[in-house]
Amino acid sequence: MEDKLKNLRSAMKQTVFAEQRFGDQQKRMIRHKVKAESNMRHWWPSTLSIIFVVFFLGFGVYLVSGEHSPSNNADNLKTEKIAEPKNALGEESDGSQSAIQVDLAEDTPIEINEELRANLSIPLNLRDELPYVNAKPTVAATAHKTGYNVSVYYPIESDTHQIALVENVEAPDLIADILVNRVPIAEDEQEVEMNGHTAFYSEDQKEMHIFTKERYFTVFGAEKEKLFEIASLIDLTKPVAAIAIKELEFANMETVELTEIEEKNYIPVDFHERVEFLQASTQPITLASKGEGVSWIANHYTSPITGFDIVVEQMYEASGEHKLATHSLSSKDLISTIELEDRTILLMTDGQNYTGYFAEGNYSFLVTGDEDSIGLEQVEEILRAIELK
Amino acid sequence: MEWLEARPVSKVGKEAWLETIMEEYGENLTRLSYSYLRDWGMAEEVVQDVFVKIYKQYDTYEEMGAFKSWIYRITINCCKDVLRSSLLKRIVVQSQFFQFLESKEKTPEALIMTKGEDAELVKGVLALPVKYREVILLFYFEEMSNREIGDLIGVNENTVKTRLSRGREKLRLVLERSEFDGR
Repeated sequence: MEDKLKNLRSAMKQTVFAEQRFGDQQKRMIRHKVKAESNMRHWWPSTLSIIFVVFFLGFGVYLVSGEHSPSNNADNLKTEKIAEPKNALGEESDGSQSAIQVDLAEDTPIEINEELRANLSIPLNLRDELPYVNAKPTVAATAHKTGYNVSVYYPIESDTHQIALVENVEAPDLIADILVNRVPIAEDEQEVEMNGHTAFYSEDQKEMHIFTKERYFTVFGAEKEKLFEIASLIDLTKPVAAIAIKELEFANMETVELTEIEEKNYIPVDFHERVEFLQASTQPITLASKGEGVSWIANHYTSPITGFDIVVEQMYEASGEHKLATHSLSSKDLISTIELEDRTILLMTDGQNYTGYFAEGNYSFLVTGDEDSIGLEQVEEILRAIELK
Repeated sequence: MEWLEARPVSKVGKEAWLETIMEEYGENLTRLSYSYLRDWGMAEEVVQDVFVKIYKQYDTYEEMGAFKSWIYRITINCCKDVLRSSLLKRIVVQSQFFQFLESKEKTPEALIMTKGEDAELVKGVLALPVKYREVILLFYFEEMSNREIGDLIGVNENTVKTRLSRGREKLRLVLERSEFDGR
């Protein structure tokens, strides 16, 4: 083994590190971030200076002109009130700045609050709009470099299993860049126009991409007519408002020792002994985290087929809403549902990995492994072996 | 080791300094981040944040004795923050890792890694749990001593030795299994 590892440096350079990853685009992004950071730092002092200068100049003019009667004061106030909405609407973007300032890492889950909902161009409830959509959607939102992503998924009975509606907000120059460098959806892609905006449509993939100056959208999962009907419900003219993006509250979890988890552990260290598929495994490597009203335990087992990780997770959420779990399942396709007396197991895939899931009370359980390392039957076996007592 | 004593270039302006350190360390830090996160997108994101942090420290950089070890430590800590900060991020990292390793439509890296002993070795190392993977990569890839690794990741030398030995053992098992499956 020692001899093999002595070759690791050259092996990595010839394989996974063969390609240069840090190039001009990376440098550009860093310069952009550094600039944005220093602009933020100079924003307050310069704003305060402007306020003082304007105040003293205004006060000087006020004293000199002698226009300080009550009626004139009322007029001044009126003018200010009229001016306010102009500022609130925001000025035309210069192309390099998004109306939204994001100080979160890429893909950080964010809160879907009233402000964010009001800023969305996509409808969050297609059930009100379309007769063929009946199921409750799963909604997920994450931070982008200069904006955010909101994805809404509706399970439907069809070969695509779901209708997806995705909205991305980004800085205009980034959207222009994405538009120029985009990869076609499929060979049959056609460029179409949606209310004056550039759009692309593929009948094969049942997918459509629409670009506006500040947003781009994906609509997926239905035949042409329905897809265009769903796309027509998107408000393509809505300006992006300068809203605050907040990290999903309980996404902040601290890594802790397993003993610090107060909730019952349904996947203890000897859990693998109950599962035929995992019996060859030794004790798992366990990670535990907790945050406010939420705890998480993950046991990492070794697949007897490939040697890669099979992860069995338990989540506890005091709210009982299973937001963490549904968030992580939002991009997966449902393969089948297994109704048992005390649980409903969902078996899913994202194209590469199988995932199994069920929730009961405040607890939810997830099993994940890549398709070569575990089969759906084994995913089911593991979830069945969890004893809810 | 030479780089632990290395200092950044002379003070030729903040912007120029940033350009120099990006040129000098950008690729290495991206690779280092990838070895923790196993996801290029997240690795690039971490490296961007690392450079922003370093840029903010420009005025104090001359007080730092070992620049390269400092910049590596910041990067490692940022990667660990990403790994521990949120359950969801971990799920994303893991699923994307498997996409890269097992995807039907393989990425360029995956295509390179599909054949040969080198590929199996790299796959095996990247599949190790973080605490074993980091010491193995710092020892065999970065060619650091046990003491340097201990200083960098904040554990004592004996812990580094133990992790190296357990990591090698775990890796041996993984490689034996994959050889067996390949027959």
